[in-house]
Amino acid sequence: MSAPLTVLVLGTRAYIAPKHVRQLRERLRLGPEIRLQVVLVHPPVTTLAVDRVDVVDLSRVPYRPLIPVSGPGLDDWGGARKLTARVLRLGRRATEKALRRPPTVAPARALEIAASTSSALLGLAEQADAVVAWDAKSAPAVARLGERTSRPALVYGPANLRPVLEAHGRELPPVPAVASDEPADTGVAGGARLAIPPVPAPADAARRLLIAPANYAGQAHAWAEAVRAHVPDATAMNAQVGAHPRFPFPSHYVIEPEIFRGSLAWRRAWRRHVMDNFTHVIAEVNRPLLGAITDDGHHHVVELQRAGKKVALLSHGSDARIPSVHAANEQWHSYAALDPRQVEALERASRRNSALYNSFEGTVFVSTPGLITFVPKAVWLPLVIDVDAWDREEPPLTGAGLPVVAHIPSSSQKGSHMIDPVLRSMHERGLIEYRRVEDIPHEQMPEHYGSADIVVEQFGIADYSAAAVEAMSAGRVVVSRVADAVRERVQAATGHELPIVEANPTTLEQVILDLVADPDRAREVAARGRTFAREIHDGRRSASILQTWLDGGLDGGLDGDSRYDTPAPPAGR
Amino acid sequence: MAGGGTYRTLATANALAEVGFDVTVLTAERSAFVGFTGVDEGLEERIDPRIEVVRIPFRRERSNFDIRTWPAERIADPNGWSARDAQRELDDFPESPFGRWITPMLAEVDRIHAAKPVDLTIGSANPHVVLAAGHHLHERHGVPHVIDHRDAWRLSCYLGVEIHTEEPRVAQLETAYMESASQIWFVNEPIRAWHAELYPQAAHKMRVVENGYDPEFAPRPHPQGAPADKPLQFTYIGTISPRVPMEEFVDGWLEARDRSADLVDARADFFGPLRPVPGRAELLAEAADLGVHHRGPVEKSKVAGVYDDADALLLLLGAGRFVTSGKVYEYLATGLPIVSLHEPGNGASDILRDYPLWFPARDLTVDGISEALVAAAAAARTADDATRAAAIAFGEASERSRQLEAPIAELFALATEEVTA
Repeated sequence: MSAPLTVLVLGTRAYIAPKHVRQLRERLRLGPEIRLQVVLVHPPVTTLAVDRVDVVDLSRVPYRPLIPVSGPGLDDWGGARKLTARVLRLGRRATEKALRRPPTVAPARALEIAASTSSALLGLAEQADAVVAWDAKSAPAVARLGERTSRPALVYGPANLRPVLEAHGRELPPVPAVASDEPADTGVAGGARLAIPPVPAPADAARRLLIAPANYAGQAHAWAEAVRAHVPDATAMNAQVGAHPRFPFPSHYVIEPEIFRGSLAWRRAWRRHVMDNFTHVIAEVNRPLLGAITDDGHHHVVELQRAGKKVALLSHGSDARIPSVHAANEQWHSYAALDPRQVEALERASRRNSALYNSFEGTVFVSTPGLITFVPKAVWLPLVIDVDAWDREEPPLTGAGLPVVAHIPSSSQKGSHMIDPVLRSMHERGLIEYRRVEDIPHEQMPEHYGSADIVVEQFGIADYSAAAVEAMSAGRVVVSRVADAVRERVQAATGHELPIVEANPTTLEQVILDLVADPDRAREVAARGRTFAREIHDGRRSASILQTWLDGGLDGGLDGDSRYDTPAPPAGR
Repeated sequence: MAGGGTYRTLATANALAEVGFDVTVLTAERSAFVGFTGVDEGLEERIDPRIEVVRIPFRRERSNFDIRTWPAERIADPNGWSARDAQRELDDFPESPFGRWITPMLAEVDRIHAAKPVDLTIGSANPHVVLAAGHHLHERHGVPHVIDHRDAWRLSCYLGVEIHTEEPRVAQLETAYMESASQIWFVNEPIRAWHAELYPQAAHKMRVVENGYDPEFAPRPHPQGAPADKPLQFTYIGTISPRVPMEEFVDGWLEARDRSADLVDARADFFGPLRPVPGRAELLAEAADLGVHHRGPVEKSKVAGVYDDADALLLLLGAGRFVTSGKVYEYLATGLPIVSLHEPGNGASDILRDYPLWFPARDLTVDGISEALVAAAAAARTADDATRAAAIAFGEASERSRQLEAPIAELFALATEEVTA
């Protein structure tokens, strides 16, 4: 029997987890018998199921070349280019030293330099049958190794290894069944059977609500908690397919996508559980909720209705916001900044979904008032946040330093490309301290918000979402673009003016300067925001709306005006 | 060389040769199909020997992933290089990845015409770049041309919406082709009607040329029902693409087993390549205990045997009223019960509507699918001889040569008219 193939994979991604290695093996389509080695720039977060892991030590990469390398190797640099690079390098080192910053080098460049200079890496490459670029940025490093040894095949992308080796005439192990075109002798068997996660225990109440499968921004969980807290003789839970790998929101039940798609045993158990234990279901964003299917979620809604469940639909945003309609209504939409294919896909999906929502014979909830434009029959179910967790006592604009302005670039549709340049420019001119809040776990956000004076939420959707509510709750001044119709709906439904300061890309700087110049007004807006968040978004109002639905009301509401009195806070609050 | 359109093109070319045309087929080099669409070499033997096949290169440099052969600018920025290369290709012709073929293709068309003047061109799309050949000869030399559009360029048959709206040249080119063509063929009425509305000026030239089954590959008809002493055998033959509602089927199958004694020990075998869909192989692996098996691709020569063993056929199709499938016609040739598991508005419903042993799911819910399976299982055992005979007779009308008779006669008239004129 011939020796197993040795495959050396180079990658520059910062975050590599076991699931990425599983995906890597699937894409290689060479089965489990290969010898798999990976070289990374960032240490993996946990042990990886490969034969060897090497990590390029960034601190030991000798210098940071500033001139792109186009010759056969770094060592061949010469003349003016090399001199210029040295001067620039010395300058940068001096700056880094003066600022006490650790030397930095781009991961892809570090990998390329290692591939050009490291004898250990060369040794690995010389023993490998193939060197694979895991991502686009690692291609130059793979090419560098190829300049130093002619032995391995050099391949771009794990999925392309097999065809390249085949073209080289290599004898390869059979393609594993999961992606196989080969006849299977005894059934298909694609990988190991998936373990069934336990389904939650049934709850004891007359009305039992399931909200699934999206839980965007943790809202399905929050609504379910609101029902538990405020609706008598009712219980609720959410189920969510897939959680954010690093920053998960709270959820009562998380189903891993692999299980949702591939476990028949789970599918049967879950379907039985849902059919046996829930009286009410809110189906989010028209996605399947009883196990993956090829179509959208409507078939499952029909099945639940046939089984006697009371079902409502719920839209969270882009599932119903039709780009062409929104762009016609909203000057500051951000579709021009998105990939046209993404916009086209959004257009198709939102048209299909909004048509479904508008023709649905039952209640359709929307999580933000702006969505009523697209689903006129919908009932606004306000977002719910833990107001106590976000609450901050200190008013904004009371510190001695520059006013701190924060922005969270949470979604490509929220127009960060229109916000960033303005705030960066103000920062560079010393007018504000700009904090772009990225990659922060959700539980740490209250602290980050609390240290800001002003939070700029979004330009693009002309609505207000969870980030704005959280910032209001934290007592910050929220600046955002909100359509007049949305403000009117909020006023009509709640009796409150929406305490978000209006701005758009052309007015943002002046709006911020005006707030800074008039801190009393800013603090007054922030205080109203704090009250508004507590009144409308602490869960009582949403629970009241859900209780009306659980009691048999709301179906087929046509005016989109959901006026409900917020019940009094529970005792002791 | 592969795919459902191959059989149609092969049958058309052979039929033209049969009625006396001197046929030249212009296509890409064989290697262009390997690892791209796939190759069924046995089909080449079925090309009428009177037909001349001209092959020209077709390179897809973006699909070359051997870094040792890459230029430096691609190594430095693989994605950027690919984007620029794709744009350069689209500059030639707005169809990826075929845009670059237009130049060598038209040069070869000119060479062929210079060597032996062409009386009629048929462009069989896709790729749609081939439609430029007929238009080119029409513009330069007045040669009539026919578009065998099969599906569509500007319509997504799966999504039912217009596509390529961001690229105005697609509309410009197709308009020119439609207006200059003498005939335009489509595979079904919904697609024809969509185009007739889009191009009213060419609507009178449009017609449906349905697919059909090819007798040399056709299954044998089943005049008798399934024996009572053997478990029922349900069979699917075809590519199991991501759009095939396999997950819905498995859910419905489980329910149907609970509802019908005929299905308790029944088997559902899926023959054909399984395109990767996350979780699908795992789901099928578990479903094996419940009688559902993926048997992998089956060689064309063994397809008839697979049909012989079947008691009922499963027609799982992706959504879309514009979608039909070549296998529908092959299924019809069997005279077996056909369980339709697709949206009721799918184009296949129009073909099957009057088939006596058709069992369509009313929708793709568990109920809808299981009801159809239960009904088909009963029919597989109990349908009477007259019903089976009617089903077989219905299927015979779907033989490809019958579908092509009238269109080919029209082409003959068209070519000879032009020659006479």
